[in-house]
Amino acid sequence: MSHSSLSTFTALKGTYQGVLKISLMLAATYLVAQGLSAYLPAADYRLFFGFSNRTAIWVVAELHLMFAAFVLGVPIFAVITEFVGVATKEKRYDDLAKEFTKLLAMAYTLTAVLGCILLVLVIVLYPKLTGYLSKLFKPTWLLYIVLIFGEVIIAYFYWYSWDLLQGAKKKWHLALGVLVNLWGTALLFVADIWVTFMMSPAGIDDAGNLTSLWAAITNPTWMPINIHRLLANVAFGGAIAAAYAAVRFLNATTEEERARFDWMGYVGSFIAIAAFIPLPFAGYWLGREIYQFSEQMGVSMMGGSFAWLWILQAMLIGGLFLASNFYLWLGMGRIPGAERYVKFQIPMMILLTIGFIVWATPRSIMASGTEMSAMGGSHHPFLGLFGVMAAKNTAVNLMILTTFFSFMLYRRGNRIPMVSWAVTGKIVQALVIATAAAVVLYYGIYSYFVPSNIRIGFSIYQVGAVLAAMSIFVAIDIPLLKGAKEIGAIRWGQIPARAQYALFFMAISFTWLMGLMGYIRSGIRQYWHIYGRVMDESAHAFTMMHGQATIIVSVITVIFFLLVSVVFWMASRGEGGAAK
Amino acid sequence: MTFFKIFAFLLMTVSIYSYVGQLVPQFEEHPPVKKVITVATSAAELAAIGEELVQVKGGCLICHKVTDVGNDRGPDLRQAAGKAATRKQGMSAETYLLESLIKPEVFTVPGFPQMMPPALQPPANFNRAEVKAVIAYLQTLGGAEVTVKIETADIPVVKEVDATSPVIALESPWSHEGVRLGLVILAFNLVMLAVLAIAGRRKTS
Ligand code: HEC
Repeated sequence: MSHSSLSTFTALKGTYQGVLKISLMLAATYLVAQGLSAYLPAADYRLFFGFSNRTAIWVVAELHLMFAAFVLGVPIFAVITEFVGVATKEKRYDDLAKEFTKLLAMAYTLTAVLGCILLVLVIVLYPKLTGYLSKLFKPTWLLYIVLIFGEVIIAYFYWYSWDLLQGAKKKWHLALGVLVNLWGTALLFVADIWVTFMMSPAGIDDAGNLTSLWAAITNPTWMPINIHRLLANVAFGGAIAAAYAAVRFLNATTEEERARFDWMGYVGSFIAIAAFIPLPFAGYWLGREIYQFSEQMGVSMMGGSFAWLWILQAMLIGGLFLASNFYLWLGMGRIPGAERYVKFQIPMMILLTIGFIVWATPRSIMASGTEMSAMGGSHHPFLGLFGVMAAKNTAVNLMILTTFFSFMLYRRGNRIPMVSWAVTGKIVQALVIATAAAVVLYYGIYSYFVPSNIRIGFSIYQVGAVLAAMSIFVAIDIPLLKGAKEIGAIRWGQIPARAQYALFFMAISFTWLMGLMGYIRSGIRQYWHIYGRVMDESAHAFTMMHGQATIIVSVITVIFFLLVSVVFWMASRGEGGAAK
Repeated sequence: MTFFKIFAFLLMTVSIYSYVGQLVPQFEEHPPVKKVITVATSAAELAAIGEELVQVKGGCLICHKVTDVGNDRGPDLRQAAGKAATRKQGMSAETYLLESLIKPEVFTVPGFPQMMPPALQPPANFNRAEVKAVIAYLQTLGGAEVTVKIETADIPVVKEVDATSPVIALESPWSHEGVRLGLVILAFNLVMLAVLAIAGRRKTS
């Protein structure tokens, strides 16, 4: 009894420290922003120490967003892992969930600090716009602050009560975990209101007065961005957690540690890829909403100046798929019996590479005059054919299918199905994959013969075929492997260091990709604060050259990882203390 | 050591990405320059302003072309003025062009989808004077005579800035509410401290 109340006290104390931190930060933000606004001469725009106000906001907002993505994404799979631990009664899952959560506490602080800096910057550098937006959305601001406190309390308590709420009380801890995610999701949805309103304003009249707050909130891009970010957060969180595991693996001194972090890296990368696969579909939805809201914005995103950046996106996604397959194949080395599947690797590699190339091929682009005459039109005569969206859809669907297949082979690595229908089952599985691939290819080719408005609909069939094939495959796989004969246990920890670099590569690429997509999302507003409504009239309201933009994305990525390494360092340091 | 290796790996990866970023075409896109149109603006000047509007503010070249190379989502604008008189029976070229810009949904050129955004609304967000400038440009482009005339009614009464950016109070919206919010947060902190104190008391007793 006395022991438990002692822990309750510690848990409450830890939680209160979180609340205190946030309170102090908010107070400081208020004072600094107020002080600067009063001290600096009144203006519609201010520069950031002589530098571009646009770039200053960009860097800080992106860093804040990355940390936010991390702290919102990690609890989602932490609590799932915790549930798995309860369901399987395997303690290692509970330990892993705790390990994931440990990364959070420190990351929360950094997220909040960055958020406060961002707030000061928008108030000081864009006073007029910020004034307008906060007047429009005042109720949501207040809600946001309430949600932040709620999130901090619940998340800190979730962490500090981990050992306290075990055994019979575990269900309360799980409930807390679910609550953390509900609040986190609400936070994300509220923050997305402001962002999406600036892209696709609704609920205001011609003079900019609010006519319906609800319409402004549920503007056309709000839900697609919510879903897109939710998925991306999980993928991102998984990738960063895997990178953490990779560092710990490389620094491990004992076999036991190596095994533990090898496994953690595997789970993290699995989560990253699993959440990543539906992401292009959410992206299509978002793209469609953007087109529907403003054809012009849609075209400048996909066919205008920003189109060139999608080539980079394709390169990153291709790289991610290649790296994850590479990691899986290296991982098969620790699975006795996986040698049986090595023969698939070369063909899969070829397929992925072809898909990668097709996806990275530029399509219709609003090029400058000289470029256009060099290419002989806005469509390249030959590349145009492969560059159009239909080919890209086909390629990405096949790449997803291939990666899925790699995962399934990996899963089966050390097992031999024993059920009587094993052969039939495997044939059906092969047929399912082949059918999906055929459907994808068929519509891919057929779409060259139909106008674009019909073609758009085809991507639904392609996606549908891939998703259906994946679900049927898994639905067969689970009973198929029930009671399967194990060739040997997975030798966790026996994986080459190269594989850890594949994990780093994935984390870096995810981060860079997020930075790039964030830039495109925000950048397609061009010289508008609020698209089509409020113009950015500051000196830096221009779209910079892609080369400069990508350098800034790289700088953001490097700063992010430097900050993350502080989080990692704190996390592993805390453990050293606990081990004593 | 591991840290530096990983850091080098990080730098290498992001450098490759940024390097590829240098390989794509490089250009800056600047916001449109505001030009004042009056009833006295000459036809040639009007056409020049119209050209700029078509290329920048209007974003028309995303769909149309005005040279041999360009986009074909909409009709070639070099022929727009020439074909205008033939598009709708009994409608003059100028009226047709006006309608096709302001209310593109009324008449759709055969063979094209109906996707053209009305020019008076965002994103082009022209005013009537600007629409007329565009018509002047289209007429010059098609080799026709400029017939449009700017009338006083075409020129927006409000200043351009006010039309697009809502009137905004400059005082900080945070001033009073900020303090009130701070008090609420303070009270909340005190409540939590009280809870802590009670929990601490129970622990010692
Ligand atoms: C999203 C694509 C798109 C944009 C942006 C666009 N248009 Fe169009 N435009 C079309 C299409 C498609 C047609 C033909 C169908 C129709 O008449 O609506 C067309 C028709 C026209 C016509 C009639 C042409 C004829 O031969 O009868 C004119 C004139 C015109 N556009 C001018 C403009 C101008 C000026 C702008 C910029 C303010 C512009 N368009 C922006 C797609 C676009």
